[in-house]
Amino acid sequence: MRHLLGALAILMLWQGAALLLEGRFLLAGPWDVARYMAEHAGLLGRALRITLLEAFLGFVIGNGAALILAVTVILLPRLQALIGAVALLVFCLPLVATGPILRVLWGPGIGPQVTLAALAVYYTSFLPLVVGLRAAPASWFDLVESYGRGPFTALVIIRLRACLPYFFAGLQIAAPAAFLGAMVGEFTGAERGMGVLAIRAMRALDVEATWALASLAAGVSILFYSALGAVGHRLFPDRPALILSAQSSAQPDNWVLGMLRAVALGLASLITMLLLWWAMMELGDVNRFFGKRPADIWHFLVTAPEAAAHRATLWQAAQDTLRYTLPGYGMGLALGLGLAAIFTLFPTIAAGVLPLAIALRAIPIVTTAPLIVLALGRGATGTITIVAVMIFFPTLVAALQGMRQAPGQVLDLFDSYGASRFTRLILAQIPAMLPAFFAAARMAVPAAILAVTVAEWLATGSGLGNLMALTASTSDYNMLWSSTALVTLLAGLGYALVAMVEKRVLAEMAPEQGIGP
Amino acid sequence: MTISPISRRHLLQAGLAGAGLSLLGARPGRAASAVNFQLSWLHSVQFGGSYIAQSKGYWADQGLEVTLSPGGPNAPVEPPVVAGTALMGISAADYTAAAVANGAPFKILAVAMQNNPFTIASLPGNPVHEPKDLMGKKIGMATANTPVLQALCEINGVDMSAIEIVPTQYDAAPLVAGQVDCLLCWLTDLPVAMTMQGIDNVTMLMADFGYAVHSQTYIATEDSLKNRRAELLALLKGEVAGWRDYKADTDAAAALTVEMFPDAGLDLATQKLQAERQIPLMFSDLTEAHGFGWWSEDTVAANIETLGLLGRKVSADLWDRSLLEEIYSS
Amino acid sequence: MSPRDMTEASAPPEVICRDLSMRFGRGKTAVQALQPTDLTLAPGSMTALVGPSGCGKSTLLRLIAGLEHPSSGQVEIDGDSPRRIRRAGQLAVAFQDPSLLPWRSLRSNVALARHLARLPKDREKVADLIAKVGLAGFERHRPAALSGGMRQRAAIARCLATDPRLLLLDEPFGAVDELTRRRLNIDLPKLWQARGVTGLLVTHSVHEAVLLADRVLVMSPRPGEIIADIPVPLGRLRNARTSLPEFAQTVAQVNAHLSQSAALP
Repeated sequence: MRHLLGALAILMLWQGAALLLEGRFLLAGPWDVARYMAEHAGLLGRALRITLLEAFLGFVIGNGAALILAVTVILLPRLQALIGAVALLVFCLPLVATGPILRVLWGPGIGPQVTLAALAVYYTSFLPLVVGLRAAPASWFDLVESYGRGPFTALVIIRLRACLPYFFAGLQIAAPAAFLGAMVGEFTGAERGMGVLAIRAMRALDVEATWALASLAAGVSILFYSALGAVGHRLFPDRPALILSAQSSAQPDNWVLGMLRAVALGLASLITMLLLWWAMMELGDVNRFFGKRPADIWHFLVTAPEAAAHRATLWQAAQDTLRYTLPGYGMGLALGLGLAAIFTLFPTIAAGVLPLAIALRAIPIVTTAPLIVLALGRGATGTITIVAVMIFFPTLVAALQGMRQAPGQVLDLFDSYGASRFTRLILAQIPAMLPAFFAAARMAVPAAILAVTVAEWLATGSGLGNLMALTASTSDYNMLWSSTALVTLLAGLGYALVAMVEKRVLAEMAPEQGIGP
Repeated sequence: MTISPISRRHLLQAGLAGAGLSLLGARPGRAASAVNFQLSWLHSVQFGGSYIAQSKGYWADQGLEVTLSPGGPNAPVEPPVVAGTALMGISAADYTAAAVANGAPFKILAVAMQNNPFTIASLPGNPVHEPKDLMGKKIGMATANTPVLQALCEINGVDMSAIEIVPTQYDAAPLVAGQVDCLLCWLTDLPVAMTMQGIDNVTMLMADFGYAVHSQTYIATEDSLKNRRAELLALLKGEVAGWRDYKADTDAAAALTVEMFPDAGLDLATQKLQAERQIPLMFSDLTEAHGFGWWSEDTVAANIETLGLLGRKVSADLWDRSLLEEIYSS
Repeated sequence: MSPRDMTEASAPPEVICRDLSMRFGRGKTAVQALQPTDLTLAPGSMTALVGPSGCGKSTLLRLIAGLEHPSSGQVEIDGDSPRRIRRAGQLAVAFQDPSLLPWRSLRSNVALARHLARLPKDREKVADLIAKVGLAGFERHRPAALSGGMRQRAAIARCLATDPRLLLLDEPFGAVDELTRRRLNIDLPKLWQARGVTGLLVTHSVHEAVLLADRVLVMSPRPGEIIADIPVPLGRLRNARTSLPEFAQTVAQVNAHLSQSAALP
């Protein structure tokens, strides 16, 4: 009932805003959108079908890849850190740049759409899978071993089944992401689909079509998110709370040793990435005109006569990007955390708002970005807000779920002393929330970079996102690859930085929640 | 996952090229040779002549099976041509020049748009009729197009610093919503969209004020020009025939476009208007005299000058008229 | 399996531990879990291991199962490493918790042992064992639907489903209430005592040890070592004889050793 009222309130707000902005070609109200949908049901249906097909294929392939990666990590634990780091870096590749490259590699057809959809989902499925594949008591593995059976049997008999709830939670996040990936993939030169219609509608000043497509995309995302959530809830009532947990590794006794290990891992993953890049270009026999190799970029940025100028351009763009990303990232985290705290203090509000926040988390950024730009303009405010919004919902959901992890007995203890809600929040619930919060903060890094580059590309025309779009159209592929590498590197570094803070804070604040097996 | 265009081309060169057969199209029982033609944007009447060539069999008659690959906001146009996944592509002189500067061995084979479609669109209440009117105005455009505006200002002696550039997405909403005074766009899309929505608008075609950059140019690599000449010739022949029909009846071209791409979300009335507006860009006294796609030394010289203002140094041999000459001499 | 294995399959093995010790960790934080220990389990005997918490009982059991690798010494089972008997599917371990897979039915959990031991399916045997542990009618239930005692019995049934030659029981009744435990103590031994198995029972219940074993070993607190070896002078299936004075005497004897060890500094 509460959800229904919430949805109704949103519809009314929406209609009101539409009436207010009438004639400015910014916003179509729910009534016009519904009419458009009814009138163009055939067209929208066909577009939806093809985009759904692309998203579905990408979803299957991406999750399949996640499963293979996760199983590899389980069977070869020594490779875990490296595989995890490389998987992250691949996930951080900016789609503004990967899109055209994939189109060239695939040629006409749905190849790039499916690939981008797969790339959009595999990492968020990989992480919970790694946790889930280990989420079984040690004695179960002893049981298998006591009959003389090895890791493979344990994988089949125990791990693959034990990971299902985690896998399902990952799938839930993956569904909207796959849809987004497919839509953006259609920007690379597709015949048909929701993305194609969206471009057309925006250009044609067809506000009703634009909003109908945005609503449809949002609706489909929410639908799949909720449906998978419902199915998962039925099958596995005890859902894991922390699905994107860090892959814990033994804490080295020595701090210096830990740093050294981190640096070694960074170098190893960097080298692996460069090798993958090189091998992909060479094995695919990709033309050097656009398929630059690591050596070309080294020359472009270091040994070429104009290298300094190239670096300056790149650095300028990076600064612009960071100027938007950092405040947006901080704001998103702070807002998510703050609101979670308020909701925890006043649980009645939360009950109404949380389902809505969970649903809104599913709305793809291609849909939200233009709306926010419309509302806040194309300057810094708009971009920062886009980044913040991208991060806000997942943070809020994670922080709220995390605060619920505070053990009931501890809360009872606080109550028995008549402690205030606020005391309870500060001393019990916030510490209990930290692992979930940091998991969200880590995943927010690639999300922030994705948001800022898409916003720069589609709206503000500055920064690395713009540089990538611009250099792709003017065949300046050296600069395009340089920007791509830099964006990926920045995202990877940001992630590592947050993970480092996480490790230190959790070691201090919540050692008993040390995550993982 | 990777298709390997280059190795495919090696194979071709190794044996099949002489027979004029592409490996891609060598389907059993069919003599037709299949080629991929890379368009520069989503399907619309912008490429109406090509659709006519396709549907009337102007290509099939010559034993050519053509795939028309659409572009998009994040679609590569030049790379597939360089890589050989597309035999021919539609580019523009400035993009082609940039690609050549970055090592692409392109030649411009024909010019579909004699006049560049870049336009300053404004509203009648606050119109831009000539470049001088831009001073003191807010212009909405992609920052990527700054050099275009710069060139226009330089040609017409307008002080660029008096214009405020507002980065916008490529849509008309900011102008209609009053966020900007004018837009840098194509004559054939946003102004058409506004007209269709019942919004009166004023357009100033930059080509009328000295901005000479060939647009919708047909490009291919030097290698293809040498080794796949027959296919290129057939492709262009079909284009010439298709655009001849297009000029004769733009409404039919618009109708065909909507019919061929029911999933593209095209509106017939909009397509008709766009088709009509495209005519003066594509057909001129020059094409009247020599045929579709033609250019003269003079227009190339003007292009080289404008491209110079855009920071692109090119020479006249970027344009290769040999295929057109072959078509029109017979 | 080789013909030799086949002939031996029914004969219970001899287990010999030589100078077996276990140390966890390194440096200052290292913990000596088990002092060097020599121990022989006679073929067909049931030995109970009692001692205070953390004395290394479970460690010793896990070493014999080959689930841990000793810091020194070795385990020989019929002159071979534990690996061999594990591989042959002739070892069964009952863990402290029943370790039933929650997504499998009771029947399927019991049958899992045969699958793991690479033995052919045997529905009748599984059904028979389930009946013998008193769970007939619950075959299709998931572990979550069973009580703690029922789960422990299911785990025992699973242990026996493969006709193991070596049975290692690690406080299998530790997690159930006293009443249930007594019931299990009476019901379950019949099942393995009917077959020829060598067994080791880790428990902290002296009563249970004396009731179920032919011999009781007492371990000292950490670092654990065996400080007493007390034979139980009663025949098997002695649940009817717990009232005999010998039983009480043996219990008292074990308790004395236990409290003596606990009094050590």
